[in-house]
Parts: sequence; structure tokens; C-alpha cells
Amino acid sequence: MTRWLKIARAELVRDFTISLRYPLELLTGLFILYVLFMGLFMGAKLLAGQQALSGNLDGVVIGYTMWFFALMAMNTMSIDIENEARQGTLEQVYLNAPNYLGLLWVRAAVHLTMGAGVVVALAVLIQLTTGHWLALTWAAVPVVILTIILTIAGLCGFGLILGGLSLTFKRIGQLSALVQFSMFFLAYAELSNIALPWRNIVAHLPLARGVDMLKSLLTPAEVYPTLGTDLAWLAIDSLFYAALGSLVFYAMERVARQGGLLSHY
Amino acid sequence: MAGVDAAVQISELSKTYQGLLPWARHEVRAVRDVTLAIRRGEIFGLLGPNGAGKTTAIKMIAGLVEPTRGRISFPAFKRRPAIGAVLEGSRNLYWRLSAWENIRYFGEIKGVPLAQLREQAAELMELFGIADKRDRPAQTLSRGMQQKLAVVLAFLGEPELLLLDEPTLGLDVASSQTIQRLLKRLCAERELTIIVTTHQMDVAQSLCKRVGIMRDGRIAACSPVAELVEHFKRQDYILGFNRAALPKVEQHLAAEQVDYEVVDGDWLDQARLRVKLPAARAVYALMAGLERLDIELTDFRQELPTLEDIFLSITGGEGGAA
Ligand SMILES: Nc1ncnc2c1ncn2[C@@H]1O[C@H](COP(=O)(O)OP(=O)(O)OP(=O)(O)O)[C@@H](O)[C@H]1O
Ligand SMILES: [Mg+2]
Repeated sequence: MTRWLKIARAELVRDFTISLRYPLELLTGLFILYVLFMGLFMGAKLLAGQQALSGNLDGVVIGYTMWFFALMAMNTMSIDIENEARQGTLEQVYLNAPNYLGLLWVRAAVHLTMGAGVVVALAVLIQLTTGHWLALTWAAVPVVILTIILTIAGLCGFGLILGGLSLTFKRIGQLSALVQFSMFFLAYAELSNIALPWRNIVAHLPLARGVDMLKSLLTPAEVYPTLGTDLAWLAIDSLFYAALGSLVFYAMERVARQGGLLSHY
Repeated sequence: MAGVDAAVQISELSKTYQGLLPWARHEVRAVRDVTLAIRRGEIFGLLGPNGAGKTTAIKMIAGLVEPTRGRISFPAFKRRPAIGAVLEGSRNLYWRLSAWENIRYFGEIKGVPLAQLREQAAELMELFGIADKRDRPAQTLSRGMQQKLAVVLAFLGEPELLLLDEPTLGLDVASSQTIQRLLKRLCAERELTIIVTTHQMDVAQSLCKRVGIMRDGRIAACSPVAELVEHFKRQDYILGFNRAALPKVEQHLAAEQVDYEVVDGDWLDQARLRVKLPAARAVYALMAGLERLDIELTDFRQELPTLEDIFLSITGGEGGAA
């Protein structure tokens, strides 16, 4: 137990050090995200025209921040692993950590907790400039955080599938671009607007239900009668993706060890 | 040589790499039927030309590559020993982290207490002369310094088995010797077991008690360096004497039908010959003859093969030491 806490601390220190050493990178990243969002926001406003419902704008803000969060989760579990394999640190980490998959989950938890800071900063910035504020009440904070954690955990699991594939098949750039694009779609899927058989399918895909729930949770004075069921389904789906991702990664890791692929040969 | 006290017991180990996709299968038999036992506290050298399978063998022991066939066990430890490794040297570092940050990260995920890490880092970096580079990002260090840092990382904690793939690659002579001294000391003090690959035959010869020479995935020879030297020793003797006597000696050797060649003959006023005798007993006749000619010897010794000579004759001269 303490062993894993120490690993978490090591990850935290490493993460912090790198982002503080290259602050410009962090700031440019944030700036690009912001500009991207403003474009999206203006577009949404334009499209919605006069009858711009505040609910739509809520959706834009929430969808965007969650999409960004989702990408961060997936990158941690896939692209980062491939980079490590390419650089050559993967083998060394693999050799020193008690369990590589466990380390990845700890790493994701630490990295995303730190990333949450960026996400919150982004969300505040967005709301400041647009003058459009989400209705977050103190009472709702725990549920909102739980929803976000569950959603992101599912995405990490999904990312692990990609990560496993990247370990064995290396160049999965195209595939991950496609997945990132699909995530954008899922972040903006209005579940209530989708015809029924499809709605159930989309709801079980990563991200969609989480974003949908957040919209309900952050819309003022709206009663949310199905919160319990939604939360339960979200938990089940996320657990499923996390387990599936771990399993696939485990299997792919074995294939990689058979092929001598933990380092770029 | 085998037995329960082997630190690493390798039995009929083979590795065949094959492409992942069924339509792009290309088999490479990197390691074939290797059986080896490495004792606790031994420094074992794995030698061989490029592509002989050394790295593959080391990575299989480290658990990074899965064997196709065969077994690796650690009888002396009765469990998996704590392993420290230098695999790809400079590539095994986080380039954006400083030397100390690398040490701290890898040490902590390895479970080494922070206080011990501080101590070890200071000691090892001092030893390798990179103490002043402690806070520099790894990417700004020279290749040799990065290599040293990678070696430091392998020593963190208390490894029981060290796997070193070309640890002295790109190091200057002094640093290479520092590492060799350190390895020898740790072996003696802590019964550390070390498996090391290198292309530098002088390093292997001075560091390893025993070497295995690989060729095409197989162990072509495996014995103590001294035994290899004994085995490959020929009855070659170096004779040194005054240059003025050279014609006389040459005439004599030709008459006795003794094989010889002149070595660095124009060196000062001394002539040196390499005399190749058919058997050790032939020395008596040679000496008697030289005595009759009244030759005053300034040098007389048997010429022993270097590990490099042995390596080249075992591997058929293919890709010798650079
Ligand atoms: N991951 C891999 N996939 C396919 N073939 C590989 C892989 N790794 C090594 N090989 C092949 O296996 C053989 C042995 O390679 P290995 O790296 O073990 O040799 P080596 O003795 O370490 O050589 P060097 O002295 O150049 O480091 C080579 O033919 C190499 O091409
Ligand atoms: Mg090699």
C-alpha cells in the first residue's frame, strides 16, 4: 500500500517538474484550447441564432471541457505509452515498477487530477469571457465530481485498449485521430435527440452519458429524477471499460514481450 | 558448473522473433538453445559480434522479452532477485528530467526510500564525476554522461542481479575503469551477480572471470578467461636480441626448419622474432642452438593470446572488436 502511495508521489513530482520546466508549452496548449473553444462558441451562437437557448450554450461549455478531459485521459493511456516505448524509458519503468498496468492507473489518476486544475481554469476562463455561467451549486459538487471521475475512468479504460494496440502495432496515429474525432461527437451527442434504439447504444459508449448527466446537473432549477439510475449505469459502463481496457492491455503487453516490442526495435 | 547455487540458471533457451502479422512473417532466430549457469557473485561476460543475440538474451533474463522455448530460473535466490539494468543507456532516461529527478523517479517506483536515494545519488554521481550535473536536464548532458547516469540508475537500491548491456559504451577510459572497479568491489562485498555484454575485449578480459562467446544465437564457447587463454595458447615465443645477430639467428632457424617471423624488427637496435614451435619441448633445442651461437637474449617469453585473438578465432573473424 505505502509502496503505491510512493509511486503516486513519484508520478506527481515527475509530472509537476516537467510542466514547470516547460511552462511555455503548458501556456500555449491552454491558449490553443481557449481559441478553439471561442471559435466553437461563436459558431454555436451563430447557428442557434436568436433563440439561443442557454441550455445549448451549457452543452457547448460542458461538452468542450469534457472532451478535452477525455483526450487527456486517452493520451495518458495510449500516446504517452507509445512515446515512452519510442524514447526507451518504457523498458526501464517496466523493469522497476512492481506492476506496469498498476503504475499506468496510478499515473493516470495523478496526471488527470493535475489536469483537472487545467480543466477548471479553462472552464472559468471560458465562462468569464462568454459571460455565460454554469449553475453549479455547492450541493451538486460531490455528484458532479463523482460523475466526472466515473466518466474519465471509463475513458482511461478505453484509452488502454488503444495503448495496448500501440504497444504491439506501433503506428496507431490514424486510429487515435479517428477516436479523438469520435470523442468530439460523443461529447456533443444530445442523447434526448437520438432515436430510441440508437440512444441506448450511444449512451453506453464512453463519454456520452457522462456529459449528458453533467448538463442536467449544471442546469439551473431542473429536477433530475433519473440521477440514481444514470449514475448506476455510468458506474457499470465505466467499470466495464476499465476492466476491458486492463484486460486488453495485459494481453497486448504479453504479445509485445513475445515480439520484443517494449522498446522500439 | 550447474547446481542449486546458480544465481541464474538458463536452460535450453531459445528466442525466435516473428512478425506479428501472419502475412508478414519473417523469422529471426536470435537465441538458440542456450544453456548456462551463472554463479552468485560472478561477473559473467557475454560476448559476440553484432546480432549474435546478446541483448535478446539479457532482455529475456530481465523479463522484457518472452522466451520462445526454455527456462530461466534463479535457484540461489528462490524467487525473482532484485534486478538493476542498463539496457539502452542514454535512451533509458527521461530527457526532460534532471539527473537527480531521474534518480528520484526510478528509485521511488523501485521502492527505494528517499533518504537512501539521496545518499546513493550523491555517492555514485561523485564517483562518476557527474555530481555537478545533478540538476541539469538529461538531454543537455553529453552521451557519456547520460550513459553514466543510466549506470547510476541500475545501481539504485540493492540489486542482487545486474544486467548490463554495453555499460561502458561511449565512456572515456577513466570512467570505464571506474565502473569496472565499482563492479568488482560490489561483487566482492555484496555477492552481486553481474551479466555484462561488451564489444570491448579489454574490458571483458579485465572484468570477467568467465565469458560466454555467442555466435548466431548460440554459445560457441563458455569458460573462464584463463582457461580460454590456456586453450588457445600456441607455442609462440618472442625472442629479443641484438640486431647484429639477426642474420646468424635467421640462418640457424632456417636450417633447423623452425617457423618464425620478424616482429617490429626496426625497433631500436633490438631485433624481435616470433618463433612458432611445434611443441613445448622444442624450447630446449631452440635454447641449446641459441647458446651454441652465443646469442645474448634480451627478451624471451611465451606469447599468450588476448581475448580479442580468441574472440576472433571463435567467431571466425566476423565483426570483431572495433
Ligand atoms: N524486436 C525484434 N524483432 C525482430 N528481430 C529482432 C528484435 N530484436 C532483435 N532482433 C534480431 O535478433 C538478432 C539478435 O539481436 P540482438 O539485439 O540480440 O543482438 P546483439 O548481440 O545484442 O547485437 P549488438 O552487438 O549489435 O547489440 C538480430 O538478428 C536482430 O536483428
Ligand atoms: Mg545488443
